[in-house]
Amino acid sequence: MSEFRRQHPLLILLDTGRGLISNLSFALIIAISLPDDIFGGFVGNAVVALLAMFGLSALFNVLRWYFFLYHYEEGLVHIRQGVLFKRERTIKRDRVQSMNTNANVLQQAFGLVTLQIKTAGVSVDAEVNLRAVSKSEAESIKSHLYSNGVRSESEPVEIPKASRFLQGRDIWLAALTSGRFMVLFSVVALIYAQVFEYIPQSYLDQAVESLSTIPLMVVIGIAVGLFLLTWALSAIVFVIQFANFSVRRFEDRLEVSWGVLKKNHVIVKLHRVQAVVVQQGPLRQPFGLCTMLVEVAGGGAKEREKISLLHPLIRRKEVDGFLKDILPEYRLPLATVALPKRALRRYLFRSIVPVAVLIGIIITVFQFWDLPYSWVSLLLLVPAILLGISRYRNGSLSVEGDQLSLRFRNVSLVQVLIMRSHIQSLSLMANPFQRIGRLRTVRSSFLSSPAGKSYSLKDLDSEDAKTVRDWYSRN
Amino acid sequence: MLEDLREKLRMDNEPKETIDPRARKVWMIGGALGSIIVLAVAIGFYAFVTMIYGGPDWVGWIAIALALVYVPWGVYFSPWLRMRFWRYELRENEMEIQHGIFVIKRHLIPMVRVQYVDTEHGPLMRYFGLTTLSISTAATKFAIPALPKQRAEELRGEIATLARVSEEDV
Repeated sequence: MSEFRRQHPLLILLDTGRGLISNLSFALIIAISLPDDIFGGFVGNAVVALLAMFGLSALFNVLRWYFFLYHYEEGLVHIRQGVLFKRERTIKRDRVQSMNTNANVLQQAFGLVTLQIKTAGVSVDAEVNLRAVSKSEAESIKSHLYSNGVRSESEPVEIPKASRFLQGRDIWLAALTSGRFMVLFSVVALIYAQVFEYIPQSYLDQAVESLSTIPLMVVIGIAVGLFLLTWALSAIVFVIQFANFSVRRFEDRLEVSWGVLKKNHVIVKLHRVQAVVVQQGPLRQPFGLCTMLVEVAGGGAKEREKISLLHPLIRRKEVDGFLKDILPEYRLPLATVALPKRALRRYLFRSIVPVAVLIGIIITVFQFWDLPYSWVSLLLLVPAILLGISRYRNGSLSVEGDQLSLRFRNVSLVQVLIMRSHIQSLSLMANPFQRIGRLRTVRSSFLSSPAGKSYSLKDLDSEDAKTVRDWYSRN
Repeated sequence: MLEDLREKLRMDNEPKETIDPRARKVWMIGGALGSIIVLAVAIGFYAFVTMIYGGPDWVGWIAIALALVYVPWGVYFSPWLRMRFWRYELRENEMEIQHGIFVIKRHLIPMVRVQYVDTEHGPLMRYFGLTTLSISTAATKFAIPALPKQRAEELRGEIATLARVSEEDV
């Protein structure tokens, strides 16, 4: 494969389509600023401006497609692009850090995929982004970049060491407990609040009048119905996004794929995995379910979430077995060190203070406007106290072999597993109160995309903190 | 009693070396400059609130009082505390750094993780012949301010050598 190739011409359509929305608003701005009498009023102006913009962007995309050339051979991909400013780039096998493919509906109809090749650099976008290549071509490029030494066609396909799939029932469970409906619900509420201002007062009065004649139960019913509807909707979206989820472990890499309308396929080289995160959202915890993520060094910031997904839903009890099969390098700790009793006071203090400030503001405002029932806000203290206790109880740490495990809660319960060789630096911190109480905060920093990241556990006994420090120290 | 509290506020096993005592002077000058700015802002605020906006006197006075409280903190206490807690120690396989004013932080940086070492100095630091040494890993960056120029260069050389010797995969 030494000659240069172009991508599929569908790319022109894809790019032009993608630019259409931004062009649309731009064309409208031009149409408004043009004098009325040139192309027969505002509508005429808009149509002409839009066509002109559309034509220009189509022309530009044709040129860009025409001048984008790539070729690949054993161990490297070479790209030559640019209409006016030429740019060439060669990516070699040993720099490649992950390769992903995905395909939207239009691409699937033409049997095309987007192939992204990322290197360990710090740039946000993928280093190579081929957005319209056939499936077989993508596979071929991948195999050229992957195999060490020449791999012949007759060689048997590599068989994964272990694999896991998400079953039908589980994906619905995952969808219903994803907590995304909260986001969607708040978006709906936000849109409502934005639109609210523009509704004429007379309509509002009328609405209030008719509302007051509707029984309260019906109003509550509508609200609950809306809530359930957004929940169901977000669940369906989730299912479509993560259907056919599978994760496969090969000798040197993980391959994760999912999706129906947009198919994703992510390859993570094993030596790039920096940490494993087991996450339990508040909705999932009662069911004993959790999400597993991997922190990966390098890679693009935009694709972050996707890169790091290891399993969208797994039972807590099965995490151990899953790790044994898929990532035997990591394991759940057998014994953990809990936080000392004297840390509870600090945990309670931290979760109560912001709520107490909030309550203070509410009560002051209510008093100022002479509104009743301000004492109800005191009830907010109950969840704050419970959260504080839960944070304290769930905070724990363990050092076993070469692995550090931290468990803590903000809202979700998070357990992080990190290898000693992946911790870039370890910090112990203590404010005066912690020093008096012989407590330390432990923070481990590691490499993640696009920059560093750190996890910390607060208010650990200073002796236990010293144990971690000595474990990490190489002297 | 006071001695007892003092003992408790101390961090155990502090790293050996302190930074150059002239650092405190630099921080004090910096704090004095900062105080002047804070005071100027407070006086400006007072003028704005009472004279232009016509608000009550006491609002402006609170701002000035706050600024006056800041002055001894910025000029004396904060540099003193910083100097008190700044420690570092270079060992064969790792660097340990301790610093902080209120929250004391102790960082442990293995030589294998060091990506680069730089030295740099601002105009004030240069006047006193001091240099800042910074050490970067792939994920984090740490700086030791106010080392005598020669000592900083020595350290940079040592760290660079030690970091080169120990090669592990990321």
